[in-house]
Amino acid sequence: MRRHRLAALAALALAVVPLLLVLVPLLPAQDEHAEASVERPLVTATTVPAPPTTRYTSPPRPKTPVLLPGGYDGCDHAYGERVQCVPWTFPPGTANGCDWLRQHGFGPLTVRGHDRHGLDTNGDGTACGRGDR
Amino acid sequence: MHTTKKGWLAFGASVAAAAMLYTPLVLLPASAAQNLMPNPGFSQVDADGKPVCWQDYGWGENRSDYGLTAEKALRLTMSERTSGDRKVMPAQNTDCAPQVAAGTQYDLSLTYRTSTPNTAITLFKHTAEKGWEYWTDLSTLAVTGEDKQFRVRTPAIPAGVDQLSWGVTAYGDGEAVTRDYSMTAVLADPPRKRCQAGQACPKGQWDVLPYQSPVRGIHAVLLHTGKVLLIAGSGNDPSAFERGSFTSAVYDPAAGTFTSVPTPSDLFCSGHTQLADGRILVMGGNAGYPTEDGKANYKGLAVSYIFDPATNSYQRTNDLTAGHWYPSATTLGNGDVISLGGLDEKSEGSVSVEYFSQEKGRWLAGNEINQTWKFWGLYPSMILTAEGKLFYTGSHVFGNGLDGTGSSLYDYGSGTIRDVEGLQDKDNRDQSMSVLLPPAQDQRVLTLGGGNINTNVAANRHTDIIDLKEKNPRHKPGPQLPQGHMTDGTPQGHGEGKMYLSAVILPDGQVFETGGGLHNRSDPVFEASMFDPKTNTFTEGMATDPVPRGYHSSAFLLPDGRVLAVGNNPGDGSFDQRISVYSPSYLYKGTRSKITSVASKNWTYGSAQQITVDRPVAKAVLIRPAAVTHSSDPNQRSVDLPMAVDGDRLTLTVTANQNMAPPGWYMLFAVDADGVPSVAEWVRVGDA
Repeated sequence: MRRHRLAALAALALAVVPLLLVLVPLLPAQDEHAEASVERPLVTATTVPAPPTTRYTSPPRPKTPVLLPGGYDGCDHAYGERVQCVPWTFPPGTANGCDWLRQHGFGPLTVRGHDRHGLDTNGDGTACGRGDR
Repeated sequence: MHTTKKGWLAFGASVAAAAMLYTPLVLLPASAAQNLMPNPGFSQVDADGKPVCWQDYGWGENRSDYGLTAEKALRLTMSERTSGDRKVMPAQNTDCAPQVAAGTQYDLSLTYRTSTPNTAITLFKHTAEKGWEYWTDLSTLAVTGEDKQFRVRTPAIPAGVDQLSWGVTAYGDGEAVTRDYSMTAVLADPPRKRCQAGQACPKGQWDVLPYQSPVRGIHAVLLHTGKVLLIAGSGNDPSAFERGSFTSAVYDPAAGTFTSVPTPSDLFCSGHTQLADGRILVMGGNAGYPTEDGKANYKGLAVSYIFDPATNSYQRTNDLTAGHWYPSATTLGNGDVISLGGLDEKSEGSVSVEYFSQEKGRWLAGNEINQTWKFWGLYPSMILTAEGKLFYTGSHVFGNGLDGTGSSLYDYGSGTIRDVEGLQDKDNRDQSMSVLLPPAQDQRVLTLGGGNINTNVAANRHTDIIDLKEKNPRHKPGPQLPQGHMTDGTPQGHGEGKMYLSAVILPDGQVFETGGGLHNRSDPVFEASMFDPKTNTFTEGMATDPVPRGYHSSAFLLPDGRVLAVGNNPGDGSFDQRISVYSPSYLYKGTRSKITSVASKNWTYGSAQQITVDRPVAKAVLIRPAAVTHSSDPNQRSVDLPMAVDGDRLTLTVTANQNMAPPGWYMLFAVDADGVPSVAEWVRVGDA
C-alpha cells in the first residue's frame, strides 16, 4: 500500500515538474531583489563646492557662555607637580586613592589646593605621604 | 516615464529570460577570455525592441528612457532631472546577470559616447544573504561626441558575492550611447612562496628604534616629503609654557634624523590639516594651563600658522575669530578648511565656526562665516562626506558626548545639523577613534572603543559602523574590540576595551588598530588587531607595540607601508619619547611590486593617469597622509583608483568627486593580489 502511494507521488512529480520548469519563468514575479537595488547613492557626482559667500546672516551669538566644570581634563591639579594628573575621579572600585596612585608611579604629592580626595589624612600638606592612610 | 514602466520592463525581462531558457545565454564562471555579458551585441531584442536580458533601473524626479539605435547601440537619455538617476545593465536576476567568483577580478569594457559628464560605470552585486545591492561606481565617463572605448578592472569580488550587474548610469540631462559590452575574468597570479618569517608572517612585527624623539610627539603630520612634523609646543609641561619654550621637529624616518623647527606659539593642543598645496595649516593651541584651585581649565589660542615643508618653518596667518584649544580641522572638497570646537580664550566652550578660504588665503572674518554657535566639544571627529557635509562621528576628547544622539551630520552651507541615531553608549566614547573605512567610495565609518576621563569607567569594547550612503544613515553595532593584556600580563577583564587607541588605514585595505589604555591616563592595554572592512571582522592577535601608547600617543602610516607610533603621557607626568615602527605581515610575503613611473605628479579630478609597475598588481589606492593627535585624524582616507591594465601599464581613473579626495598630496600605492603594497609615490590631487 505504502509502495503504491510512493509510486503515485513520483508519477505526479514527473508530470508537474516539467510543467513548472516551463511556467515558473513566465510568471511576472520579477526578480526578488530588483526593486531593492534601484537606488544608487550619488557618491560619484562631480561636486565643485561653492566658495562661501562674502556675507552670511548668522543668528546672533548666544549670550550664555558654555561653562565647563573644573577638572574638565580629568585631572585634579590641586595635587603634586603641575605636569601630574591625579584623576579627578578614581576608577570605580578603587578602595584607597593613595594605593592606586602608588601603583601608578606617583610618590608623595604636595597639596596645592583643596584636598578633594582626602589624601592628606594627617594634614601635613603632603598627600599620600608618611602617616597618610 | 520610468517608474510606471518598471513592472512591465521586469515582466518583459522575465519573459525574455524564459524564452531563452534553452539558449546558450545561461552564464557561468568561465575562462579568462569568455565574455560574460549577456546579449553583449544586443542582437536579441524583445517585442518592445529592448535588448533581451537588459533592464533599466532608476529613481528620483527626471524623465528618462532607453532603447536601441539603428546600429544596435544602447541609448540612454535623461531630461528635466531634479534628482535621482537612470541606469541600464543586465537584468538583476539569476539568468541574466553574470555569475562571478569571489576573490576574482574582472575587466569591464564598452564603447561609448556621452553628452553629459554625469555618467558613470555603476556596479551592483548579489549575495544570497542580502540579494541585490549597490556596490560602487568605478568611474565617470568623460563627455565625448565620438565613440571611445573605456576599460576598467573591478576590485576583487567580495566574499559571498555570486553575481554582478554593471552598466552606465546617467544622473544628469543628456544622452549616453554605449555598445560592445565585455566582461572577462582576470587570470589569477601564481601563488607566492610560503612566508619564512615565523610569527611576523601572521602578526607583523614591531621594532623600537634605537633613538628617541627630541620633542614630545603630541601632534604628528606626515609631509609630502615623506618626513614627519612632530609638534609639542609646550608639550603638556606648564614650566615649558612659562619659559615660553615651544618645540617642533621634522623627523626623517628614512635617515633617522630630526630638524628642530622654531615654534612661535604654544601649538600644544592645536588642530592641523594639509592644504591643497601640501603646506600644513595649524590653528589654535594653548593659551594657559589649568589653575591649582580647579576653577580654570585650559585656555585656547586664536593664532594660526602655515607650516611649509619646503622651508621647515611656520608662517603666521590671520587669527581665528576666537580661541580654540583642541579644535577639529577638516579639509573640504574645494580645499577650504573648517575648524570647530575646543576651549576658547576664557576656558569656555568655543562655539565659533572657523573657516579658512583657500582662495583668499586666510581665515574668514566673523561676518563671512555661516555661524551656528554650536559647541562641538573637544577634538570632535568631523569627517567630510561625499556630499560635502561634515559627519560628526561621536568620537571626541574629554568626558561625555554631545547632547542628543551624540552624532550628527552638519551642513555648513545651510547651517543645519541633524542628529544621527544609533551610536552606542555615546557618553563613553571619549578618546575613541573614528575612521572612514577604505575605500572612501564606500562611505562607511568605523568608530572604535572609548571611555570617559571624568567618570573614569573602564574603556569599552564598542565598535559602531555607519553607511553614509544610506538614505537615513545610522550607526550599527560592529564586532567588539578584541581584548589584550595589561602591563603585568593580566588579561583584560569582562567588557574591558580601550580608549586612546589608533586606527590606521593600510594600503591593502585593512585597518590596523593599535595602542590604547583602560582608564584616564593610566593602565595601558597591549593589544593590536586588523579590521577587514569587507567582512566587518577583526583578526585578533597582531603583534603589540612594546611601548605603552596611551594619552598623547599616535600611530600613522608611512610611505613605505610601515606604521609609526609616537608618544605616551601617563598621569604621573612622564612622557615616553620612544618611537616604534610596525611592519605589517604584508612586508614579509616576499618581493614587493614597484611603481616604475608616474607620468604626471599633478592629478586633476576625473582624469586618467598613467603609471607603470614592475609586476602585476590588483589595485591602486591614494592614501591621504596623516595629521593626527588625540586619536583624531578625520582627514584620513584611502581612495580607490579604478584601473585599466595593459601589461605593466596602468591607467588609473581619479575620482571626479572632490569631496571623495579633497585636494592635496596623497600616497599612491600599487597593491598586488596578495595585498602586498609597493612603496608609495607622491602625487598631488587638485584642480588643473
